[in-house]
Amino acid sequence: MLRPAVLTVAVALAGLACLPGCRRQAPWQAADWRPATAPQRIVAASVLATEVLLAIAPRERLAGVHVLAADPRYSLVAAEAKGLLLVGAEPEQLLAARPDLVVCDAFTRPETLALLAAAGVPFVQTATPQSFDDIAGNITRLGAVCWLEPQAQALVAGMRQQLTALQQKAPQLAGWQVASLDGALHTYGRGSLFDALVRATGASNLAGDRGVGPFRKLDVETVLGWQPHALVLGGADATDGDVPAWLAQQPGLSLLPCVARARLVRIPSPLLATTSHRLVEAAARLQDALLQWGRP
Amino acid sequence: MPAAAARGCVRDCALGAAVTRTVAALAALLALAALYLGLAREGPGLGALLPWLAGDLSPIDAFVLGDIRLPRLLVAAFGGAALALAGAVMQAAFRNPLASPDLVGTTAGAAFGGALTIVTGAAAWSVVATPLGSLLGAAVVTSLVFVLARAHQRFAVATLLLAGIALNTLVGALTSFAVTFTFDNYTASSRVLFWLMGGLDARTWEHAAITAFGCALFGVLLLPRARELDLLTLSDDAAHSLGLDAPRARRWLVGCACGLTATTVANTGGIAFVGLVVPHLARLLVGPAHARLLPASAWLGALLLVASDLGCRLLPPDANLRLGVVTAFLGAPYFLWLLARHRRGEAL
Repeated sequence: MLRPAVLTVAVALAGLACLPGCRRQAPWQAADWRPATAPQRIVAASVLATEVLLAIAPRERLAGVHVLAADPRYSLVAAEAKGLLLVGAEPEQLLAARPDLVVCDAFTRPETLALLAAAGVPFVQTATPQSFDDIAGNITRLGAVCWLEPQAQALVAGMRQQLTALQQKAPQLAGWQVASLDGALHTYGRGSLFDALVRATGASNLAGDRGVGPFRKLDVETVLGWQPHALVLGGADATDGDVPAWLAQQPGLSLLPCVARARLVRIPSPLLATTSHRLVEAAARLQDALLQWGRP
Repeated sequence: MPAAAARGCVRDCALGAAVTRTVAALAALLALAALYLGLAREGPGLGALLPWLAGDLSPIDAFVLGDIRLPRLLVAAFGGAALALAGAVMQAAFRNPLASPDLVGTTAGAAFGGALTIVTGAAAWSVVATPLGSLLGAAVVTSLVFVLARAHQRFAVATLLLAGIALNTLVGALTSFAVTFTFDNYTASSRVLFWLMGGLDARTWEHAAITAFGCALFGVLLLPRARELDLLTLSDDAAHSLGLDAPRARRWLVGCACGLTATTVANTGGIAFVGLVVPHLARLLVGPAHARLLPASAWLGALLLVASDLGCRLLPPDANLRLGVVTAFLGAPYFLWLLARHRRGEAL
């Protein structure tokens, strides 16, 4: 009766049965893999990889960087990335750089990884970090696969040194409850890097404390109910206390005491969104702003 | 000249013209394929095609041409052909020039199946997980529509359409519900979003094989039934008087169209308007008889999708223009033109 549909189901089921066998495992997909020689044409296929590699690797070893790494709205190294070959997410663009190593991230599609594997191009995937330890893990892994361990260790040590400096001032911020907010009322909660950033300063992230997941949309009523002591806002070159237009247009939010007292910490969007060692700079900026205001 | 000889001459001339047309169509497709393979912003260009065929190209350039661009070209060509064939069949089976392959829930089912593999993480197991999940979703939803539409052993157009609209809405809502689970996960939400918008980036030989297999299988099943499609454009009673069991034929033909759609959408994501617009263009070229309309639609569909994807490929990496968006840009103005014609009282 439904022969074509039955045939389609049969084809799909047969394919699904073959799935485990289809999975390709290249040697470089092992967690402790390291190339036999130092790679000389590395493609950084993410902003994270670009920010880290530009900090630890000689520029001439970078054969290409992700196109977003040259965009100042998303990248902290946009100026340094200018002049390097810019690549997108497509395998053809990655291969055009003639890489001997591609540094991908969790966003890289399985199809792209399969094609890179089929082309015999080694790749590593950085993990999605949720803490400063995860960031250190990514940097250490990149240092190992690129044969740049001393530089990677130095970068991690620098980040940890800055974290220690933050920890020394952290007790002064006990009791501060902050929340992040953007124009669409999204916030970062438990399990996000923002949560780690706020904890590093000694304050607490309200969304995380309330059990909100890594990235959620809030409504005005919820934000009013939370009564954060300060709001952390992304944005371009604005100074702390400046009220962005979207916040002024939300009549409810202007009732928040922190808005009335202009306790708005402005952190440039690429710094707030970074997943590299540079995140510690955002933490320092937040801590400085809160310390300047004294008590909540 | 005797009458038999005159008839023979007419037959020979018609055959000659058909052969000429076929050769010209294939030549156009091959020329576009060569342009598709050879035009690129970076990497091997047109000059690399002959060395590649001669096996005299660097391994990486050979890989780009043979394992990245060629499978993508095949998915575009077979996918475009399949969607256009499915559209031609649907428009005849429903006697409606605005019918398209997504009418009976096939596309919505495929979208749901594909989204589910991404949301559950199954897409990370293998490159064929999403296509197979989509195939399964399309087959299940389409079968459900068919079962719902079959009342009192009849297979009426109205009940099929109503069941299709109802299931389309329901499955669309389920897809949206599944997508809400990815809000915490940028990776999954961006993948679902991009898949739903349709696109041919990073297609592998597995994708090409599924698309080509579906197009060949269901195409071969459809082509000998061109006369049945001609008869279905009449009323069911008229078709019956000419010896066709219209409900049974419709069920079979729509089933094949769904197979074509499912095996394509599973590998391309949502591609809009190809199934709706291309059969109309083909009718302008070869007329309404399905013996010519089906191959012409397949040819034009392949040309349209390959050309559209070539445009997507040549854009800079930060443009991110999706194939489904390009086909919608091309198809929507044609749809409005059809509407304007209809307002002037002309047949669609």
